[in-house]
Amino acid sequence: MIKLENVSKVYKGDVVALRSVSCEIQKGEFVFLVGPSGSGKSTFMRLLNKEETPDSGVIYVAGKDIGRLSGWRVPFLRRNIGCIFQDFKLLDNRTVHQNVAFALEVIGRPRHVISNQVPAILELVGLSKKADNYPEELSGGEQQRVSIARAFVNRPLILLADEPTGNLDPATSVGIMKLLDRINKTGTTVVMATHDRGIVDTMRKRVIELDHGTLARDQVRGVYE
Amino acid sequence: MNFRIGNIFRELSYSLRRNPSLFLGTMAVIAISLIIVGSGLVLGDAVGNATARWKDGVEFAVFMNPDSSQVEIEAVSAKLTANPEIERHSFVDQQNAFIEFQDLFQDSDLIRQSVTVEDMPPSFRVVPSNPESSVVEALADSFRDEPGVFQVVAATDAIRDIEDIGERLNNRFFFVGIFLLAAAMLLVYNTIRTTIFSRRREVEVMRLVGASNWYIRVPFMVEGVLQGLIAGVLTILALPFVNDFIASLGNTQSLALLDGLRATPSQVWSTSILMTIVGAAIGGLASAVALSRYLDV
Repeated sequence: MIKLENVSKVYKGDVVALRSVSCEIQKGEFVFLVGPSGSGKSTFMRLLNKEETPDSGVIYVAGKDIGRLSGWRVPFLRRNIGCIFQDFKLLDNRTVHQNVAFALEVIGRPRHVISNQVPAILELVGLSKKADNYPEELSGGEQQRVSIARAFVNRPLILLADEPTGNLDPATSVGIMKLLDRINKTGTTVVMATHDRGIVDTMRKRVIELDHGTLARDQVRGVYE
Repeated sequence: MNFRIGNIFRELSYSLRRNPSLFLGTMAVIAISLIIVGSGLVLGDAVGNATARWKDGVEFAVFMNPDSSQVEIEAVSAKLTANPEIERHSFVDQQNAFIEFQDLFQDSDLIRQSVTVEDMPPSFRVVPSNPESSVVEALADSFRDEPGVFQVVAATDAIRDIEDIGERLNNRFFFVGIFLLAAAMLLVYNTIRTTIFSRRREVEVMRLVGASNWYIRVPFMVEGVLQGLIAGVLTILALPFVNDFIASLGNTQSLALLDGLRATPSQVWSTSILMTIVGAAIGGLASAVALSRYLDV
């Protein structure tokens, strides 16, 4: 599903984000991306949905070399990749329903599809009763669930989660992880960058560790350290 | 292009509700700029219409009786040709005089329908070698008593002054207008930039979920063009009043010679349409530049 071959990325001022990283993630895998701040986790994620381009190396997503994608096709790549963030990135002036529907509206999905899929995904994340609430009326955990609903409503092949539990308390984090696990079990590949040792050690999924931009460890059913 | 018109207008309405004062302020500046430039053009047309017969150095006109004979006309022509103080002259026959009259009173059906070709006096338009008003007056007087002559009308200094003032005013309107339009363009640019900034979260989410570049950009473009178009519509509404005001200046006692100081309805319309197109172009261009600089999709 995802394959990196000798991928390097250097930012201005010779800041090395990734150095010759190679790895492959199969369809339906759940992978934790761990490492200290500045180790290249976020760059890794941003390269996958082409928010950044590598300085060298090749990245394949769903069998396609995304380096060869022309600009106008990038949105089509992104429709196959859902993204979840630590700060949720919800739209404050829209209700829960509207936030989730937004992801379908902007890619031109018909109204009847939106009116079917949004309630279904809100049911999945347990927020049916909060559909008409605004983000500021929700707890952090609920806001992250809305963010997950929005990322998953279009049934992407891949879900990228950049520290999704970073702003949540341990109990709420467990709920979010259970939700991501359920989504993973539907066949969606999940790549999650995290600093949460407890979660990684509990779930025992594949762990890829980055250190100063290099791949330091790739462990099946791994632990944080 | 994978988007729906309804969605684009919904995005646009979100944007307008967020910053209505900025939108209205920018639109007002564009409208004022367009009205000033448009007023200059309408004034130019009005002065042109009022002084049409005094173009190209023509200093006086010898109007013949409508029923004057060919012999009388040829006699006056011969006298004009023979006079060394006259540089050149041209003859406007009844048919052309009728067309000129119809053009001059385009907006008054009553006046136009009250005359026929036969009612129109043929005339000679005369360009003297020396345009000094005393020389022109003396030359004009020498034709008043010729057989078949109905009236001799000389361009006065007042008409020349009006032409000069009209031209100078026109130039000033134009330069002030261009300056204001440039300011309006910068304002649209900044409005779109501010809108992009205030909607950065939406834009970020749109990009992440795979909205096409067009879907993201079009509402911003439409916002800029819409400001220009609405300002254009205000210009369309305002220019007839500007034309009436100019005409009222021409009707005052001191400027009675400029009775026809008025742009025709078709001239006002074409100026209005031109200003609307300019408004939309300014809005579109400023938006496009702002988008290329500040919207990373």
